[in-house]
Amino acid sequence: MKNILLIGNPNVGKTALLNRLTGSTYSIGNWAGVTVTRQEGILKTDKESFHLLDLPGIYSLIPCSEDEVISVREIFTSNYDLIINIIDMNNLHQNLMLTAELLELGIPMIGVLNFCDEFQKTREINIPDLQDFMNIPMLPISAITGQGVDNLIHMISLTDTYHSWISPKRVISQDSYKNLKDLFPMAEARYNLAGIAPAIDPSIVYTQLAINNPLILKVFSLDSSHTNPIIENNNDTIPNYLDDILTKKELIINITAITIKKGQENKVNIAKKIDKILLHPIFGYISFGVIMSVLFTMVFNAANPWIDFIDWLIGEKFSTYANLALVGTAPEIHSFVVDGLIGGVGGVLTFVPLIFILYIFLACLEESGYLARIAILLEYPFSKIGLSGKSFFPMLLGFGCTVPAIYGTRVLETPAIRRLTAIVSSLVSCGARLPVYALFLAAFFPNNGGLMLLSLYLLGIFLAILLSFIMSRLPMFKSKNTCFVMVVPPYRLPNLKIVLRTASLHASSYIKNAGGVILGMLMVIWVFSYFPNNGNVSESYIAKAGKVIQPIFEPLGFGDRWEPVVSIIPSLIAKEAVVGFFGQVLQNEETEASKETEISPPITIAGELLEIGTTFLGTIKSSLVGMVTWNLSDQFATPSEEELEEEAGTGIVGKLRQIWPDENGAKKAYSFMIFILLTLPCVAAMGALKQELENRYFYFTIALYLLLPYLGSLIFYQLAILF
Amino acid sequence: MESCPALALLKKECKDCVATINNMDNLDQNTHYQLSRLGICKGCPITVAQNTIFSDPIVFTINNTEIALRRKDAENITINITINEK
Repeated sequence: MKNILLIGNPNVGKTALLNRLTGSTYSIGNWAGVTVTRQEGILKTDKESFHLLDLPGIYSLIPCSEDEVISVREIFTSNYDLIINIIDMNNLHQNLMLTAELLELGIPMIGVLNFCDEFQKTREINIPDLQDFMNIPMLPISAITGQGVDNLIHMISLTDTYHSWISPKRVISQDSYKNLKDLFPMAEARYNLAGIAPAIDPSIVYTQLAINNPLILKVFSLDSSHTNPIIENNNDTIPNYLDDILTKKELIINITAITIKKGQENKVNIAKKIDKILLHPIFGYISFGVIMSVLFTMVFNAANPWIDFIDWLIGEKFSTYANLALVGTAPEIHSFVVDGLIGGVGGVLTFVPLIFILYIFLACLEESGYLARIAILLEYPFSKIGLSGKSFFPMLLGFGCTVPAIYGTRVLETPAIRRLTAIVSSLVSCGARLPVYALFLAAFFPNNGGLMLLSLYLLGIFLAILLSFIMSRLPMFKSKNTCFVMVVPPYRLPNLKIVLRTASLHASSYIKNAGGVILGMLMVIWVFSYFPNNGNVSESYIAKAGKVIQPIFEPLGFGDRWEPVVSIIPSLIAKEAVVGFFGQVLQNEETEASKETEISPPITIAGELLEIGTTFLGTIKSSLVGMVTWNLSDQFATPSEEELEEEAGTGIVGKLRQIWPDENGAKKAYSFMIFILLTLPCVAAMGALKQELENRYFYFTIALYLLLPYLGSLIFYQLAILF
Repeated sequence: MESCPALALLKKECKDCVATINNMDNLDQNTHYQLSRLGICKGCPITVAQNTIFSDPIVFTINNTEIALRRKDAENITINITINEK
């Protein structure tokens, strides 16, 4: 099977092309850094199959960030037969710089001119001249619409012709480059052991040594102390590679002879007019606030009816059916199915609509190009706290889930900014914490839940800013040379298919990765809360363990009960597991006698289907109406008396309220929410941190998030009880 | 034709000026390298696309690509103003 690399600048549509060619469903977006790791797929043609590898975007063969290292390593060390260089037609000056460099590798290459549909609306280009000059096929395509993709597949299938797609016009063909080999004898001796792909022209490898390419130095087990003396001593004979590539790029640009079609100037200028508002010193921030408020309101208004529907369907309907089906079975099996299994599945599925809808809106922001503008707006304030405007992306993802937020830091410029952003992004309250807040707010803050929720989010953001400000002053987190050069992507209308696919990916990833862990953990909790006394939770194993460590948490207020103390354990598996835990523990406190006296009304299949169907249609209506209402105050509206009664009727809110009936109950609940906000992120996020941080920073982070929640809750509760 | 920092393009009288990059050698090594990777070099046309709050960062149009740069970096790029469209 032939191996093919997809290479290009960031945000040129590499992943969109991979998806188009292989039918894969990788996530894509309109800003640099969507792909931070290698992604692969298989293209099947009539004749044979091809293995395609999509790499993170690069600007040159010298990597400047962790994701670029992945790409450049693959280019120099893996075995492949063809490079597909994806070029954004709207940005040729920038993209052809990399093309000029890739041509130097001496590997067969196809140039793919992406976004040809956008480009051809306003401009014209001389593709035949471009093709003749570079001596490689140059194909205009649109990965989004599929235009020209069949032609590309045909070219890929011409495997016998690959050898003729190596550009003969290479700067490294000059003698000055060929002689570089003699300057680096230590590299020559190690060449076979370095794992450089045999197809690559050795001259380009020695050229990279002459410009101290950190990756090439690493594969030869060298560092700049070996090469610097050679470079300094041979300053006159070593050619200026970067200048030569720039000159070559300028030559290619002149050949392309881009002209703007008559009467199309206005279209080109539309983006500039939009930027006049969205990047305006004052209106930019106002529009940012308005857009974010509207989008978040739409997300919650659209998701809430679906959350209620799933909660009702699983928690009420399915539980009723299970109760009827399990009449006469052993109480252990009955409780396992109804409280453990169905309760656990409900706990996992309830958040799927919120995650799905949140990612629809995030994908729209990405696709439109607005996320990049936000990074520019926020660069100034973020740089004052040791971060970069680009840190906004991972931190925004953190509102959904901390795991992609931590991986998203790979696109940041320096290791110091990367590790600082990864560490503080855990303080941005993730979506999994929201149900915990919702439960405690409904129970203890029925009249001002919205404001309390806002205060928790703001507290997390405030502490992230404060910690970042303090830590960026410490030597271990100080950025020595921060560089901010950001390419502003063009505005694009979000493609509905791509947006829905991205959202589906995130929702299914949540079910697959988090769902299984949460469900498994809830099963374990059920076992330890049911036994040894057949459902008497206060005498269960979990209660006994909780009571042992309870005194440590007493100064924090919530430590006077064992349930919140023990719930910290499932919170480390997944934050939303706290809700499931309280549901199980408090449900199990019901006496078996009371359960047995419940008389279920007679049910019919037709009646049930009608009720579920009617509620489903009502949910669609409420979701659509909520989405276009755009009323921010809905997010901070207090629940009505009926809603509270309905909630208390299902049990959990009312029962939770009873654990702290005293006057300090609300303070204890808030102290507990602060603890959940600041405590260690879930195991999946800790795994991501372990992967992204060196050991000493990882253990520092663990220590920080063990200390911070305790101190935060302690300070809050001790101050609160004074008033 | 006099060289001046790229920041001069923010001045009122230069609102619609077109300039070319004259020198980027005063930039720190990292920023200089990042710009070179984008194909930006001496002679490239440069205009201001959008100013932001505190003029930091500033969005320039260089080679028809919009690129945001920090104010301190814009101070270290010298340009030649070639056309004053006004």
